[in-house]
Amino acid sequence: MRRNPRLIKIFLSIALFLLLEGISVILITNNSIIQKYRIMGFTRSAQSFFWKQGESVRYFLNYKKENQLLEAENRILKERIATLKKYLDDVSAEEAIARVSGTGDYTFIPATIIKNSINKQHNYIILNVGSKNGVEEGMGVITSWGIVGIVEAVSPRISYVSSFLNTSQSVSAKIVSNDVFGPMIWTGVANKAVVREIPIHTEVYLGDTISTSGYSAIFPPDIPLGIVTSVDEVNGVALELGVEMFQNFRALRLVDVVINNYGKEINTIENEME
Amino acid sequence: MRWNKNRSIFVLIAVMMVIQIIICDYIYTGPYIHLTLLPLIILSIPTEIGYPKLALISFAVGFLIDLVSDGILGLNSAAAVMTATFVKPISFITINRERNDKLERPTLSDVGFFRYFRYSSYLTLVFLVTYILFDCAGFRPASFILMRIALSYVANILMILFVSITLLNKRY
Repeated sequence: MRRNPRLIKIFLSIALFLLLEGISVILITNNSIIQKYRIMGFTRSAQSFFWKQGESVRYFLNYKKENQLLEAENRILKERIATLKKYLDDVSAEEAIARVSGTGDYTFIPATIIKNSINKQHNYIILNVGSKNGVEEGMGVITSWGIVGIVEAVSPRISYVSSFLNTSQSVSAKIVSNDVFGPMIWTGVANKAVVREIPIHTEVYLGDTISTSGYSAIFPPDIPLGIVTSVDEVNGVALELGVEMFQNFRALRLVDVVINNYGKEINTIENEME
Repeated sequence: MRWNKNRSIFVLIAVMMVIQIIICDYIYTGPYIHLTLLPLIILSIPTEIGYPKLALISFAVGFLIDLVSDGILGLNSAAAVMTATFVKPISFITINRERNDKLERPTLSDVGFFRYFRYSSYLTLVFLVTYILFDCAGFRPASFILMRIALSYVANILMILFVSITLLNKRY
């Protein structure tokens, strides 16, 4: 039987095409940006130097906007202090000291963003703090204006954060007025998100505030996330709320990494239950 | 002479890869537009090397861009291999067969604006459809995907024509 060289060539070309496409699809399904950063750890360390310089220039150009954000944050903190002062006046000094000296549920590590991707469907952020500063994988990252993401990988001086601007990430959110909760997911467009699985009988109004529910060990409760801009019925069984997020990811610079002081205990219990 | 020509093409591809990495890392185009020079890089690889080499080079270039720029590993390489597969059939359709056999790398001045426009348009569409489907399918509405393909196509074809006229419109 004679072999047709042209046929063999076509067959080999198809096999090569399937092989290369197969490798690419496996890479897409098994690979996250964070894993890529681990592979390229050395190169990224060198690149982070340039990112820091670039970020300094960006900060210098945006410092007016940054100051406005800090002023607004200060104003909110002053209002909260004033409210708390009113309550503290009603208790004795010893009682007040006893109340505030205990360790809270959460502590925070301040960090600066040195690289922020906002252009993709799967965005990420790089922070200037790492394991040497106490950052660990799985910790949440927040600002006063909302959540930023979750730490996915940590090197001694740098952390890689999977941004909330990520189509595969969700956060447990609630409607402040009635505490009804559901997962909030980024829509892929600017600062728009949706809260899903809200029971259909729930009373929701445009302009209602959405905040974190606290039903996870990652983010503290009651961090404001955004306001409701639309209410849609899905298949007649649930509501889907369109949300405009408070957090402007383009103007991000200073963030806080959240340490849940009871996080390890919660995880241990969860693992035991599983 | 041949060594010089190969070196020129290699330098050209390297320059376009650097531009592509800069586009990926530093240029914000919004969620609807994906800017890429990869179809043009594939288009500038001489077709005389044959499909296996063309596919392997395209995969390597895509993988390298995935590795050093923002994004998911495998996305650019999948789209690049798909585009490389369609180079020969599309060049047969858009540039006539006799002419195509004589050309190792069609340029705008060789085949004329209209033919070159069709040739690069189809290749860009193959690349964008593959890239955007792998990136968005399953968790993005069809309207978003179609809009992204359409807007990315317009932006990319303008950029590709500009680079083709300024950088590629000569024989190396």
